[in-house]
This record gives sequence, C-alpha cells and structure tokens, in this order.
Amino acid sequence: MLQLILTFLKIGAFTFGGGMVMIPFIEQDAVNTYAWLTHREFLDAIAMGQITPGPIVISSVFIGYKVAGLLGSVLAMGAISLPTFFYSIAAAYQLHRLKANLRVRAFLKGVGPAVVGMIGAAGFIIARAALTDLWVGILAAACLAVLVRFKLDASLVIIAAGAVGFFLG
Amino acid sequence: MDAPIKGKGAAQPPALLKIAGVLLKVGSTGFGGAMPMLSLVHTEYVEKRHWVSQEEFEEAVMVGQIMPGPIAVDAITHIGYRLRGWPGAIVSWFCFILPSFLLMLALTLFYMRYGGLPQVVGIFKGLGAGVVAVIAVAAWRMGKPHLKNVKTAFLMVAALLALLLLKVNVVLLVILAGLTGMALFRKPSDFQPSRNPMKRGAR
Repeated sequence: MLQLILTFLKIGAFTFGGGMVMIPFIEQDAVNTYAWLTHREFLDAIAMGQITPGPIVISSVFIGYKVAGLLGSVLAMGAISLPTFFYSIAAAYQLHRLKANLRVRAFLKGVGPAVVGMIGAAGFIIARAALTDLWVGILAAACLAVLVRFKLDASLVIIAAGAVGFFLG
Repeated sequence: MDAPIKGKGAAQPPALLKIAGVLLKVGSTGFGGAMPMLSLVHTEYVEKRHWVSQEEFEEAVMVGQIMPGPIAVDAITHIGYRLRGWPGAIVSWFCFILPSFLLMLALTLFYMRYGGLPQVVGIFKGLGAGVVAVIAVAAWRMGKPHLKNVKTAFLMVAALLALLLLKVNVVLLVILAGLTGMALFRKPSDFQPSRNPMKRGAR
C-alpha cells in the first residue's frame, strides 16, 4: 500500500509534458517492477482512461483498485494528482522567475523531446501487447489512417474500434 | 515575488459553488485530452463568465505545460488558486477530477466482474487497437516539431532507444535529458518564441 502511494507520488512529480507521458512511467513501475498488473490489463486500463472524460491519469484508478480495492483506487488517484496540486500553487508565486530563467528553460527544452521519445517507446511496448490477432493489427492500421486523415476525437475512434472488436472478437 | 492576482476580468471573485459547478460539468463532458478540455474551460471562464482575462488564462495553460502532471489539472488548479486562494485551488482540483474518477471506478468494477467474458475480451481487443493508433498519432504530432532541430531530434531518438532497448529508469532519463538540455541550449537564440497552443484550441 505504501509502495503504491510512493510510486504514484513519484510519477505525479516527474511527468513533465502532460498525461501521455505517464504511460511510460506507469508501465515501468506498475507492470515491470512491481507486477501489479499485466501488459494486457495495463493496455485495457489506458483504453478505459481514454474513453472516459477527463485526464488520462485516471487510468491509475484501475491500478489502485487492483492492488488494494476501493481504498487503493482513491489513494492512487490522490497520490498521482497531489504533486500537480502543489506545483500549480507554487507556480502562482514563481512563474515569472521560472519563465525568465534560461537554465530552467534549457532543462525543459531538453526534457520536451525526450518525453516524446519515451511515449514512442511505450507505444512500441503497448503495441506488442495489443496486436494479438491479425484483425487487431488491421483495425489499428485503419484507426491510424482515420486519425491522420480526419481530425476526429481520439475517444470516438477508440470506442468505434471497441464496437468492431465486439463483433470480430 | 508575484503574489496571486485576483481575476482582473471579474469585479468580484466567483463563488466556490459556481467554480465547482462549472468544473463538474467540464470534468464529466471533456473528452480527448488536455487541450480540448481546456478549450471548454476557456469558453466558461473567459468568454461566458469573464472570471479571468485571456492573458491570465494563457498564463495558466503555460503553467500546465511547464509544471509536471496533467496539463489541464495544473492549469485549472492554478486558476482556482488565483481566483479564491487555497479553497479555490482545492475545490477546482477536486471537482475537476471527481467525475472521471467515478466513471473510471465504475468501468473498473465492470472489468473486474465481466472482463473474462468472450464478448468483453473482443471489445477490449478492439479498444486496444484504437489506443495503439491514438498513442502513435500523439507521439508523431508531439514529435514532429522536435525533428526540425538536430539537437532535439537527437534527444528524442536517444530517449526512445534508452527506454526501449536499455530499459533505463524513467525518472533518471528525464533528469538526464534536462541536464543535456542545459548543456546544449545556452544561447538566447536557442529559444524561439513558442507558439501559443490555445490559439488553435480555443474556438
């Protein structure tokens, strides 16, 4: 339980660049290090996080629940969101200083592309877990084509893919 | 030190209950990630209710991008603090997260109970295909601007390989990338003015 809180506090404190960045973080700790869930379950948790409104971080509710039930889900969500809370308040006092500080900006400019690379890596790992059947691969390619071609909402595309899965699976 | 400024656009700071109402609504209807959600908040806070000015809102979005954590939660908590101090921050943070927490909990319970049924397995295989596509597109869209510069392109590819092949610890990787950034970007000319994302997101 303590492990759960500490892990999610750490993830909340270090994920520069938004919700997607949490995916490689959670994958490394929750799936690989602590084996709280399988890759398949992790993928399903992200899918559920994407089809519900709100931030993607909400996937951590699933992980918390698996580890320690209802209390676990509250603790996981609270722990991953708590650093954010304090950062945003600190920002009210330090924002202008941070903005003017070239070292801070250089640090963030280095982190920016790196987290995108990390999301890419997590994408590969997740794709390996997701692409179990030929039809899933074809469906993923179709979703990709639709997303690139049309500016559709991501959650709509995912839900449509789920509906296809209901008939093909 | 920059003290928190009360919303300049508003004659009087909005009641906590009103903030709660708006954020519960956005939290339960805002799909598609940080920027689409923030454009809903922008409509309510800036256009309809004039709680904060356009400049203040843009600054909050920037806070979301600089500070770790989900961009929308960062930005909304920051505005809450500037409007009503600590109570405003707590209410904003809590009410924005609550609806999606409850929905996610309901889905989790469903998954735990019915996740093994063949039809449900099929649904999740399909959802997984969609998720892979969404992550690929997100990584591509986020990564494209970094490809234009040799240094940022190098950092991006290096991080990808370090995580994929060497399984380097993610926190260590973030810190290393930041330090590399501090070594690589020393001239003011390294920082072109960044484009403002709300100009595209806001309707």
